[in-house]
Amino acid sequence: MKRLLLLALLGLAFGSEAQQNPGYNKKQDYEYRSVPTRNITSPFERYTHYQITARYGVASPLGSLKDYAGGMAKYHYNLSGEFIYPKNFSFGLQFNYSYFKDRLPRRIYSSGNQDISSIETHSLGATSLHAFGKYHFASTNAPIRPYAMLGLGASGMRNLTYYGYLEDGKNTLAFSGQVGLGARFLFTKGGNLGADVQATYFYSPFKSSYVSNVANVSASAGLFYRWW
Amino acid sequence: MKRISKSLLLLVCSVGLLAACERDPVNDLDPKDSQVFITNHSTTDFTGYKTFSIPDSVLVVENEKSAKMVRTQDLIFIDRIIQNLTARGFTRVARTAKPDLEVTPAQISYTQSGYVPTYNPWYYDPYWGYGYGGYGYGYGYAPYYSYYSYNENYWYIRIADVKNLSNNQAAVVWDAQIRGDGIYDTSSVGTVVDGVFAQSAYLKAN
Repeated sequence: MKRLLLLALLGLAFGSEAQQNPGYNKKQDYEYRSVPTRNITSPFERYTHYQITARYGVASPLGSLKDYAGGMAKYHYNLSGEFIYPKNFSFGLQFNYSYFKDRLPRRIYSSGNQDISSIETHSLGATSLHAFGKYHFASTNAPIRPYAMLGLGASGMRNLTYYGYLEDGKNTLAFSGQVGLGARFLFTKGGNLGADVQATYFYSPFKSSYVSNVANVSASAGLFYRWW
Repeated sequence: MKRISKSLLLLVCSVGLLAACERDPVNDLDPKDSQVFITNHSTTDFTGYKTFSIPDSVLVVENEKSAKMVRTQDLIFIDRIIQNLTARGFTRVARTAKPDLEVTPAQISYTQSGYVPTYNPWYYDPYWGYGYGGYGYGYGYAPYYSYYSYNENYWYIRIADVKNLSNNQAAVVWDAQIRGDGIYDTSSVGTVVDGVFAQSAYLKAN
C-alpha cells in the first residue's frame, strides 16, 4: 500500500512537471524523427516549378482583318510552357496559331480592259512565338488563380488570297504581341492538373495588299499540367 | 537541367505540330467553284463587225509543241463558241469569205520546272570575302537548291480583227482564259464557255 502511494505521488510529480513544460513531449518527438513532417508547405509554394498548357478557342478579327476574312473560320489554339515562381510571377514561351478564312460568292472584278470572274477565298494564318510574363493574383495552390499576361515576339503571317485556285499571297515574318486576362483552376487541392481559361487581344503591324494591322480578340480554354 | 531540356523538347515538338497544322484555304473548294474566267478586250466598238470564222479543230499548245485536235470536248467547245457569237448577232462564214473576225479556240498547257538556289545565311562566298586575304574565314556550305514545278492548263479563246489589218497583222480585240478544275469535262465545257461570254456584254454585233 505504501509502495502504491509512492508510485502515485511520483506519477503526480511527473504529470505536473510535464504540464509545466508543455513542449517536452514534442521536443522529444522532433528530435526522434529528425525530419520535420508537420506543417510542411507544398513544393509548389516553395520552389520554382514548371507548367505546360494547351488551349483551344475562338478568335474574332478586328479592323481590316474583319473586313477581309471575318466569315467562315476563326479559331486559334496555343501551347505554352512556363516557369512559375513561388510568389506571383511566371515566365515562358507560347506558340499560337490563329486562322481566319472567308469565301466570297462568284463575282466579276473589272480593272481597265480586263474582267475576271471567280470565287475569292481569303485567308490569314498567323503562327506566333511569344515570350510572355504573367502576374498571378493568388497563391500558387489557390483553387482559382487569376492572372494578367503580356507576350511579345514574332508571327509567321501567311496571307493567301485565292481566285479559284490562282493564288496571290504573302508569307512573311512580322512583330506581334498580345495581352490577356485569364484564370487557372486546380482539379484537386494542391494537385498537378487543372483547367485554364484566357481572353486575349492580339496585335501585329503586318501589312499586305489586303490587310493592314492584324488585330483580334480571342477566348480559349484548355488544360494545364504542372510539376516540379 | 534535365527538367529544362524536357520542357524545351516539348516546345520544339509543339512547333512541328503547329507547322504541320497549317491550313490549306482551298481544300474545300468545289471543282466548279475553282473555275476562273479571265477576259481582255480592246476599246473597239464590236458593232462594226458582222462576220466571223472559226476552225473545225482546237489548237492544243503544250510547252513548245502544238497540234490540232478534234476530241469530243473540242467539238463541244467550238460549237458553244459559235452558238454564243451567233446569239450576239454575228454570222459564221468560211475563212475564205473574208470574215471581219477570226476566232482561235485553243487549249494551252504549260509546265515549267527547274532548280532555284535557296539563300543560305551561313554561306560565305569566297569571292565576296571580308578582305582578310589569306585567312580562310568560314567557307561554310554552298547554297542549297529547291526544285519547283508548276503547271498551267487552260482553255483559250482569241478573237482577232481581220477586217482592219495593218502591215498584214491582225489586232486581238478580245481574248478569254478559262482556268480551274473540271474545265475539260464534256459536261461542263458548255457552261464554262457561256461563262466568259456572260461577262462580256459589250461583245455584240448590234
